[in-house]
Amino acid sequence: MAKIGVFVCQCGNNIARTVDTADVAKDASEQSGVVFVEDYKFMCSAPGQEAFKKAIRDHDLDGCIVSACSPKMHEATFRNAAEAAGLNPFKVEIANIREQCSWVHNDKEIGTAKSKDLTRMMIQRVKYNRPLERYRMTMTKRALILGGGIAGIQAALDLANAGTPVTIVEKEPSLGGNMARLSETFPTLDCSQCILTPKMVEVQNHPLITIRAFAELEKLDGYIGNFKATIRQKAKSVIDKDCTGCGDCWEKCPFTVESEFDMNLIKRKVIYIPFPQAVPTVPVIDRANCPKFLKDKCGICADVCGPDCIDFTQEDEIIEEEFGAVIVATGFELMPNVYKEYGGSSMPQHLIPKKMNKKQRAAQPRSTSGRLPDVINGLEFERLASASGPTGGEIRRPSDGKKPKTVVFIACVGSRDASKGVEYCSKICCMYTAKHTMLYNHSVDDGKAYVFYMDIRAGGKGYEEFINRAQDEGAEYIRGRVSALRKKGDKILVKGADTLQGCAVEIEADMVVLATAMVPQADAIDFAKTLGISYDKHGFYSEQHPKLMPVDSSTGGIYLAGACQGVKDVPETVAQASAAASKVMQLFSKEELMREPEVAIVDKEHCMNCWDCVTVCPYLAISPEEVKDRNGNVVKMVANVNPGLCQGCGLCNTVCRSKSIELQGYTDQQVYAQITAFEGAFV
Amino acid sequence: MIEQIREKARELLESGELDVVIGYAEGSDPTRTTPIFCRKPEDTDKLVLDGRCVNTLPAYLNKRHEYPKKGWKKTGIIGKGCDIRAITQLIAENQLKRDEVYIFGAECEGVVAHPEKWDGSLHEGNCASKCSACDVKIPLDTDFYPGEKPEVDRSGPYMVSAPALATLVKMDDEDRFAFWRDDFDRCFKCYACREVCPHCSCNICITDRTMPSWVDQAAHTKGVFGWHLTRAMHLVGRCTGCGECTRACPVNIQVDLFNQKMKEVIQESFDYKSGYSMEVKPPLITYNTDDQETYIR
Repeated sequence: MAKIGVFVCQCGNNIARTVDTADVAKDASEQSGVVFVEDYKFMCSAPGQEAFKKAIRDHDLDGCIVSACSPKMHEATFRNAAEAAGLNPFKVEIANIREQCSWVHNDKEIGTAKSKDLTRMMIQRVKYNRPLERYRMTMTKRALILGGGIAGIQAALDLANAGTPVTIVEKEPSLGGNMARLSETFPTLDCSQCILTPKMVEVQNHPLITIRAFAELEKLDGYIGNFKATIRQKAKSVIDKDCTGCGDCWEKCPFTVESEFDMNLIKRKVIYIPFPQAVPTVPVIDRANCPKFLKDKCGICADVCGPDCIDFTQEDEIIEEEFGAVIVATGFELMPNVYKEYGGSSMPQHLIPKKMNKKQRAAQPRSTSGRLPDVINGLEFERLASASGPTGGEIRRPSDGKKPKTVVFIACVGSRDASKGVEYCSKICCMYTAKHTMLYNHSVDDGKAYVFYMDIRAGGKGYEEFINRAQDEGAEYIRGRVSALRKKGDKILVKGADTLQGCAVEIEADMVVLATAMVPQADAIDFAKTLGISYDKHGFYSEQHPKLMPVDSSTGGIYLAGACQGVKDVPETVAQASAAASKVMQLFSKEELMREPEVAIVDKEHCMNCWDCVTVCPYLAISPEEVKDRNGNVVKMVANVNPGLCQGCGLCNTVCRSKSIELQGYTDQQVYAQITAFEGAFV
Repeated sequence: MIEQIREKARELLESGELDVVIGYAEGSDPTRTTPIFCRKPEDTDKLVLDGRCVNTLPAYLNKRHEYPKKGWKKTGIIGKGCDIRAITQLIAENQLKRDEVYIFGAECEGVVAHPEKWDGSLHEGNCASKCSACDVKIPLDTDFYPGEKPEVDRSGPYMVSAPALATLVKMDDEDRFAFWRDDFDRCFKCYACREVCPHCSCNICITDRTMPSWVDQAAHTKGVFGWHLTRAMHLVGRCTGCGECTRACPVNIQVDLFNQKMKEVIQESFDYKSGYSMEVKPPLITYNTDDQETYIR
């Protein structure tokens, strides 16, 4: 005979207001198997928990129901208390009579009746609860960081300084990410590279950090504590252990292509490092553009290389490594093809004929040229303003190198409007536009900066003051949208509206800077699928809980940092990276990994190996297993669940026709008993 | 036609390539044939193949039956087009490996609806309704086919071949419920429909599970409805439409009407025809990130 205790919580007045807890307790006491009932003001308080433990000991209870708030709140509390009192924690169940009764009903009679039902259902259920043990598993205490921008760098340093070996995988030849492109950073206007490069050097010199630049993650198998990563080290064509980074090769290289790092504003060599402070300072050969690879000509770099480390025959290397945790810090990009909205076509400039007949001109959407050369995006402006950029920090326009006397900045390009881009606010643009006006005013003394804006969003420490400073320094803010950009001579005619004055505005600008929306990397969704984490409709990676678990991804052991999770500025990115690192430290601080036992388990006798469960499992936790007789002959194949990977979603249970796979703690028997205990149940 | 199959079967049994050939032989009276397991080469003389061969033999290949455990390495089986569809589906569901079977196929003229109706020949009056819309009279996947196998276009949809279904879907809910209630009134849960089905492959059927007892085992309205609806749902996207469940029913309940309807639904929703490919997974166990429903992505 079961010995069940029922503990009804009043939650102050939260539950007692609409539920007669004494009546619920009385009803429970009349159920078979219930030997102890308590009606208490705050079960979760210290005295409440003590009473709970005492009842378990005194009455030798083998099952407990706590009729209280959602199990999300205090299930762990009471399970731990039960464990302390010597009862298996999985013999404790919560009947949610707060969120599901008192908070949603006004009528006390209904609330009480429903609370009685829920409690009764749980009493029947707990009779079938089996004692479960948590799984213990070993883990590899090494962390994998995907992305070598500021988020990845910060997380790597935090982890390595705490004694954890870290590997950073970066797809570009150098660490740095988008932050390395920035000229100065708001709200203090300190030079971005000056604060970033010391960290990059620290990463390079840290004994616990391995940098895998020019590499990509191909595959991630395994589960929290025991991931297996397959990394493709792309061929650099340079033997990096021998390279001294002297620079002879890229100085002598006679071929150039547009530099991605400099937003195609300037040329770089075909053997290159993206920027002078690159880490590692090992160049790579851009094989798609190198004549040695295209037509087997040249090879000067190999001739001039002192340590003889140019290797044209190098091949991609596949590296398999084990990790215990993964931090995803893959960053963002700016929304492509926004120029179209402002009168330019998205056709690449070199494809547009210089002279067009009338018909061709008419075919061009609202503009006589393609993308207007002096309409640039935020990152391009950053490069123009950067001391290490193509103009050496002097702001000159891309078309003819003249100093622009009038610059129009347009905020919210592609953002806050689902019909023209994305519906979310790109958040950082108000601030960086203000910064741009200041950098411009500092560089061109007699210049005039106009900003077309929708609202100013400057909610951060020192941010509002920064906007005010930009306006004080001469930027003219016009509230309204821009409808079109037209080429007029060597200028750009900006047609817009001033909605505060209620009039149309036309400005002849020398240059236009678009504050383009921040969007996830183009391959973000494919990469999420490689990792097995969830993402939102834009492709930003989803956190486990928007408030309480902001750095955990949907998959255990994978954490998020930086703009891959949502739009963020540098301070927020750094904060999140440190948070993700601390999550990993927390995971690695234990000797072994404990997993909740609420995972699927296979009835191996009756499994008919149709592999439907294998097919539906979103966590790849189920695999075929051989059953052998004592002579080692394979008798049959059955499904087998890896408890480390199983997340207890229950999809396998629903597809198994023979009911040969169950979720521990949620067995058919428990659920069936629960349903049949409901008075209105049709069974 | 059957002579060639006999000859080939004898040859393969003699050479030891096959351990057994499952086919049809003359039955207890001239209107019937019976399944035969030819273990010896001379047994192949008994093989027949004509319109009386109604049984779906691939049911014997299902692991639920003991036959596959007899240690036979390779089983020969004589199949009509619809039977071979069932074999293909068994392979798709991992119940069988392709190299474990050797399929003798032959062009099928159709089969009789029920042996009672056999009058020496097959004609419109006694042909099974499933044969009227059959696109596998020339079978799909065979290891041995007498003569040259012509190419057939099978891109069309499954044709619903039960005339009763058309009237049934037009009924309102109440009448339809009455129809089934009256039909199910005769059901005494002999489970013949389950036993003949080539796709009922569970070692323990859900209806025989008692802890808990999801499907009421008694043969009253609730228990019978419970069984037939569960059976129908368990065959969604898997039934290959051999119609054996209806033929085997001793009280003439058209249980395959459910399966026919579900086949139509699956075809419309997922563009899937069971029994035509060993590789394509049945839609109810797969998900596609391009699914029309957004919640699944």
